[in-house]
Amino acid sequence: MERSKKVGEFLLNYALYIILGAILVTVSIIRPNFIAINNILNIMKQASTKGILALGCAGIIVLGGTDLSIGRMLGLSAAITASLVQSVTYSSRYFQGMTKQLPIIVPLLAAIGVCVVISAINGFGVSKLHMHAFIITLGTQLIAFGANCIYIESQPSGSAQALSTFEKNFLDKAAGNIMIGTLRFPKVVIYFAVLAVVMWIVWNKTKLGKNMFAVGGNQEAAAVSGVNVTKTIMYVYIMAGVLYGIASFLEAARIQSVGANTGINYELDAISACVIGGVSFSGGIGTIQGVVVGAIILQAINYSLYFLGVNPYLQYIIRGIIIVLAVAIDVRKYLVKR
Amino acid sequence: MKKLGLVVCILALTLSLFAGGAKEKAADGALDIRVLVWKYDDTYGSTVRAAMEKWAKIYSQELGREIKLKMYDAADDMAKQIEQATIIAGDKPDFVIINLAEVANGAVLTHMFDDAKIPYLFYNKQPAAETTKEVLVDTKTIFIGTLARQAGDMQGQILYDLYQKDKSIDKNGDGVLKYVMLMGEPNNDEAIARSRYSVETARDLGLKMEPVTETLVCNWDQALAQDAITATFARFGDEIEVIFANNDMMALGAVAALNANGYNTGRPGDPEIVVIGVDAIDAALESIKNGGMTATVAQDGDAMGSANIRIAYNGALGKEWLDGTNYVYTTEDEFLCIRIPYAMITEVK
Repeated sequence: MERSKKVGEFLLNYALYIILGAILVTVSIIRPNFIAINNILNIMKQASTKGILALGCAGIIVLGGTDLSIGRMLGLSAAITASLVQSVTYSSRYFQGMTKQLPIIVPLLAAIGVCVVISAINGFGVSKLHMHAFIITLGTQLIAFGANCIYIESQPSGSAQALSTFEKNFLDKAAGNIMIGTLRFPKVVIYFAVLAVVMWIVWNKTKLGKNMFAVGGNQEAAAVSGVNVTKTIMYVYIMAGVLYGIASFLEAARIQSVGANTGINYELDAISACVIGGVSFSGGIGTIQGVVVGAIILQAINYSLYFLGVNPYLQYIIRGIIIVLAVAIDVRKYLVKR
Repeated sequence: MKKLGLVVCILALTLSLFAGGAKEKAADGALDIRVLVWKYDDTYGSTVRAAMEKWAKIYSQELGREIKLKMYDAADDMAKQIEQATIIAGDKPDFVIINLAEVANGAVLTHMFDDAKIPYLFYNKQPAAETTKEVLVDTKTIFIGTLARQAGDMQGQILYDLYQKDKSIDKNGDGVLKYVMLMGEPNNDEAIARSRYSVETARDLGLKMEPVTETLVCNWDQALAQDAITATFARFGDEIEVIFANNDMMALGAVAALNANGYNTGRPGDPEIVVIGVDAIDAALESIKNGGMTATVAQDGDAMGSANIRIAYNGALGKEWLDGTNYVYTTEDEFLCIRIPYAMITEVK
């Protein structure tokens, strides 16, 4: 009796990891050549940019909010990054006056700056104007999209097409590989890992982290016990902005050209990763480990379905079922605790 | 109350900033032409829009009568397009150029503009076959389009030409070209025609074609195509000999995925897979130049933009549609129609 209860608890606590393992094992049984380090790295690589977005968005969800502006914000920020890293020998580049390649830090700071401003507006709306995050981010999403379209269509060449042809140094730093023997290890995976560790420390070891959970759990109680609610909310949104900015910079390098449609629906991937990873939509609950695994599970599903060559319409159905299953099992763990 | 007043003031200010000149009727003899665009953030559509702006200026000079354009973005939403058309019908401009948001629903617009006695034409998106009689034949309007299957035909032709020149694109030398298809959207006529005729034409010319895996539906999107090809390549690797993409954005996504594996880098000696797109956007041309993509098919946005404006000019003045132009009506359509031809691009200098 005692033992079966323990097994049950173990299964619940590690449900996410078990699901991830089950996906990988199933695919490997159907296609034995799936068990290759290359496939694992591909999944990790695809999970990285979305994962960084999810790291930012997770804090906002812990506060009891959500962020619909992620995708379009990334689009705008990636477009600005793109215009700053175009090869100076490319004749239809955005900045015709740019004859020397900028130091890589300039586009990175620009990308972060754009996202921090937009995310801070979201934070201001939530903390000062007391708007629901859904509404304010819906607004900024439209603003970011409009701004992106204007930016892309103001090319000196008169073209309204995607910005492309980036310099090699940028591509290598942001989307390149480190060679370990014959293995190509994507740099973006390292960036993701570092940011995840930083965020883990912020969430678990700092006052901001503790305040964030307090505000997310019960805003009134947190305020009464002396937490500066406005400041906490603003910090969480600004932190999210920094992460979105880094993700935009990396995504521009990964997809190698940025158009008006870049970033569409990315917020859904980021939010799904958080939810699969056990961040509760009612606020106050979530872990960084969960978010990281959630992002990886999401990409593992996508990758496996393509790898197996599953019929495209069936893919949607399977994705839907796995997401619902994962969350249904994961929430049980909190139900049990209460 | 004070705050409310402030908000109202700011709103009024912003609106007046953006609304400048919306109502002014062409009292100065300029032609007032409105353009209903199905979706602003469509790559090819953007090229046509930019071309229309350009040609409106050129024709204003050439024909000695100023053409004023005003465009509307329906954001792929027919309901929004109908609202925009209602406003336009009230404004009574000289002409309306229509790019349908929903091809099955053209009659709503034609009725509205016929009642308001405003002439119009359709471009780019062809009204659905079942509505042809009502929307195009009875109204005697003109449709300016392309031939959906021609882009696919040319992709097949390009592959055939390539194979004749260089048999090594058949990597394993078994005489069969194994391909992957990156498809736009499942129910889109262009996507269906391109997916079908690229392969059919290659087969008709005598190539043996075989799909490597299921069609990859990637909604015209670069990032989705990149993810799809990354996984597909990881499984099949060199078994893939050809990648057809319904548009260039997806073809570029495929190249980015291949680049990550050291393919199609443009460096001498690195392996290559044939990647053929459609649209000839700048990024694709640059990619072809640098050894990424193999070829593309040009949808001539500039020519379409030019035709739209020139023919709208005739329509606004009540002349015959093709008066004073070199365009020729198609013979196979039951309605008035011109088709802007595609072109094959296999080399970029």
